[in-house]
Amino acid sequence: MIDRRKIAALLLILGAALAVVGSFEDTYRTIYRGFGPDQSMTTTLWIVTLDPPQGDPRDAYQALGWPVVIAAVLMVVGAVLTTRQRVAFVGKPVAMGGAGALAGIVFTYLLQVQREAKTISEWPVENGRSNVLDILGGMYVIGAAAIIGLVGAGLAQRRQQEPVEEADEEEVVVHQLGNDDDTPPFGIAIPDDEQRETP
Amino acid sequence: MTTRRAFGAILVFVAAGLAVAATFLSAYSVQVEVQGRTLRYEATSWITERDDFRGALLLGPIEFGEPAVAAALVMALCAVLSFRVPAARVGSLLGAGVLVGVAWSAVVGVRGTIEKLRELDAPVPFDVEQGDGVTMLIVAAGVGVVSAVLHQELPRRVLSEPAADDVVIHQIEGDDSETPPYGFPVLVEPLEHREFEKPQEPKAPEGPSEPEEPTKPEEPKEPRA
Repeated sequence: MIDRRKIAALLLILGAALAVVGSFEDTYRTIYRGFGPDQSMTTTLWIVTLDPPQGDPRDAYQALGWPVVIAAVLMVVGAVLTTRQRVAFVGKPVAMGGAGALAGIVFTYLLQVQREAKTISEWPVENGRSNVLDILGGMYVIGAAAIIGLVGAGLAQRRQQEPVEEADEEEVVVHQLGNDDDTPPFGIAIPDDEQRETP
Repeated sequence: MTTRRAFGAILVFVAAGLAVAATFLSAYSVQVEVQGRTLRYEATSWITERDDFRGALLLGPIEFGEPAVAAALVMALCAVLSFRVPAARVGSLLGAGVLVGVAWSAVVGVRGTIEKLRELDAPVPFDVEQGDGVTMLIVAAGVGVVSAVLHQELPRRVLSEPAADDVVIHQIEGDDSETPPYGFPVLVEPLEHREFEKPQEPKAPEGPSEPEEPTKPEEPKEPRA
């Protein structure tokens, strides 16, 4: 039981860490071939970098860095709280809420990027070439983070009934016999009076 | 407790309904006045409802429809299931979390659109408005979080209920010389005197029984004689 709790907490923390790391990785790159030279825009969850560069990197249209970081913080807080017996009942909902929020953010982001891929493919282009949207590593990292976080939060919930048993094991164990006729545990069967008299 | 959870379950349905309804309302709108004419762009989370710019601004819907409906489905299903399977209550939390994430993403999407249009450096400022859909989604997320928390079971009650049904064991801390609970202190010396005297009195009537024993062996002797 302690192992499972630790696994759940570790998965939650792993998911949170991957989400934060992934938010700084490049998630996708669009290459526009419409007018003049090719221009590529590489996006993270925080900023967009242009190539060829045009001044400073600017904020991403889907600047989901802060939401992801806050969801990750919730997951870590939830994971830490679930390892403490006293506050585990607070930790479980926090972990589930944080993992859910991360999953919602990543899901929406994925669909939004798909929409953008569809939009730019319809833009006017020269020479029969087409605009391209490449999915980069960061997208897979945050996707994996969302799934790992959900699994961790799910595992953290499951042991809800077990602490009662666990507490019993450590304390005094009381055996209750269903029937008074039974031989008590660890005892020797007492022969009946008739059996005793016959020899 | 039961009323609280039932109330929570009903609120979960309300939040799920609001979330689904929000996806069909206007998510955001862009408006600009050029030469006395008003050009307007409006989109729900699913489709572009009105686009007077004919795609020139490269705007598109903010894609929160599917995640919001998915979250609403999870919440509604779990609220129904939780009347039979208590463990399903977790789902309302999951759904509420997803809704919060989706609502936040939608707000970020509207902000991004404002940013995008500012970069166009248009001579006339664009008026970007967050639509009722996004506002309602935020409300749905808020209701979802509150209802999900109400829907949960507080663990203190879970722990105390089985304790009342089971055997209660009192364990005395401290050394063994203490008086056990519900007992009286045992007075050792005066009781010993009385106990010695009392057994002596019943011993007196036992005296006549002793002579009976010698008579018993005599009885078998008589048949021999």
